[in-house]
Amino acid sequence: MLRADSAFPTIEGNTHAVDLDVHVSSDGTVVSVEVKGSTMGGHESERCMVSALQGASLQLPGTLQRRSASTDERAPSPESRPLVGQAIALAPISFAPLVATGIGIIVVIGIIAYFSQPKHDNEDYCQQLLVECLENPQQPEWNRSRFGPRKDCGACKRYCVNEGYWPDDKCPRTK
Amino acid sequence: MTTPEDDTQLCWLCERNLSEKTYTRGAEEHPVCAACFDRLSVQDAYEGALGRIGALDKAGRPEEALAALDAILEANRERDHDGWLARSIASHRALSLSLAGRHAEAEKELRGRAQLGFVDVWDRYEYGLAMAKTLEALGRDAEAVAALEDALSHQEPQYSPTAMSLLSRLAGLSEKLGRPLESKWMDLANAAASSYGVAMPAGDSPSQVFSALHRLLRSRPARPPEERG
Repeated sequence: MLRADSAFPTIEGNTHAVDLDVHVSSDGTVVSVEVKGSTMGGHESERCMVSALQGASLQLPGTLQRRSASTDERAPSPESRPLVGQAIALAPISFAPLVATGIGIIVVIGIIAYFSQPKHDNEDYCQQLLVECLENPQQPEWNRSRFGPRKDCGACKRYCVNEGYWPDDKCPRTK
Repeated sequence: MTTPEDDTQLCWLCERNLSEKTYTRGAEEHPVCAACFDRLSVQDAYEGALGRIGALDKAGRPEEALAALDAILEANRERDHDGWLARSIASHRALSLSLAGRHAEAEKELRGRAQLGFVDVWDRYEYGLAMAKTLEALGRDAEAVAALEDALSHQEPQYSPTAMSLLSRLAGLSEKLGRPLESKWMDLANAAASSYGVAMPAGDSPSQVFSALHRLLRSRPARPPEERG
């Protein structure tokens, strides 16, 4: 391993390049950073850059935020619900290269960010089932010893949005 | 639901107190006690707002969703005798925050939700799943495992289908952490399969087996076999 004060392997004089893949959660927090390519040979400064990015906040560019917010994805079929997670990944976004200078070197940093966005398409599916639940709010006789005479349709909708499927044990879709 | 002494009816909801009022919802009419009348009224208030709150969450307007939830609680606090509404609102606030990607705040909200208590095992499972998901989103997988294990330490056979949801996630997280799954969780999965009369699915890992069993149980009729008559 190279020390911070050791000489860099160079490409063009004192200029280096580092390519990073950055995974960002839906709240903008960098959750992981992977070095995809580097001319710095694992130098301490390279690891320092990775550490600095970990936990940092990275915002989705404004135009993409708007596009993401306005996208009304089609709800998956009920059969595919178990496979649906809470977050989806947008296509990777390449940021303009950053140029860092100091200690006599220039580092060109390329960042490709993978943003997770909250998945809201459970909402339509679950809202539809909530409406059905509220149209038939009484528990069937066989389920009353467990959950009482009235279905808790709100709890079932929360569960549905969180888990991606309707909890038929608590709010059976039977009349 | 008529008491032997006279024609007075027991409350439709709690089946303990004598009815004092009539709760009406659409074509339904039920004799209920005063406390249960309030309980059903606050439930109606919450459920009636869920469409609008869901639309706000989906539109990326969590602050408005949270404000709407808080307004329901404030308007009905006096009638929320058993804390049902407070628990529901706390759980929903956590969901709205989670959907907005505000996981740290969702965790705090969920911890407050736990302080309000749980009424049954299903309630604990809903909480355990939400907390595990939140902690996982925060990169705290070991704590997510602990949240699931804590919820699963409360077991009743009739909640097996929901328990499988927790077990499935627990197995996935354990694999991610490189931890072996405790045998007691396999025993629980076997018991769930047995109670629903299904064979344990095959799989290369506990995670695959539990996920397959979870899907299998959910594809069955909601009514357990022993209660089908």
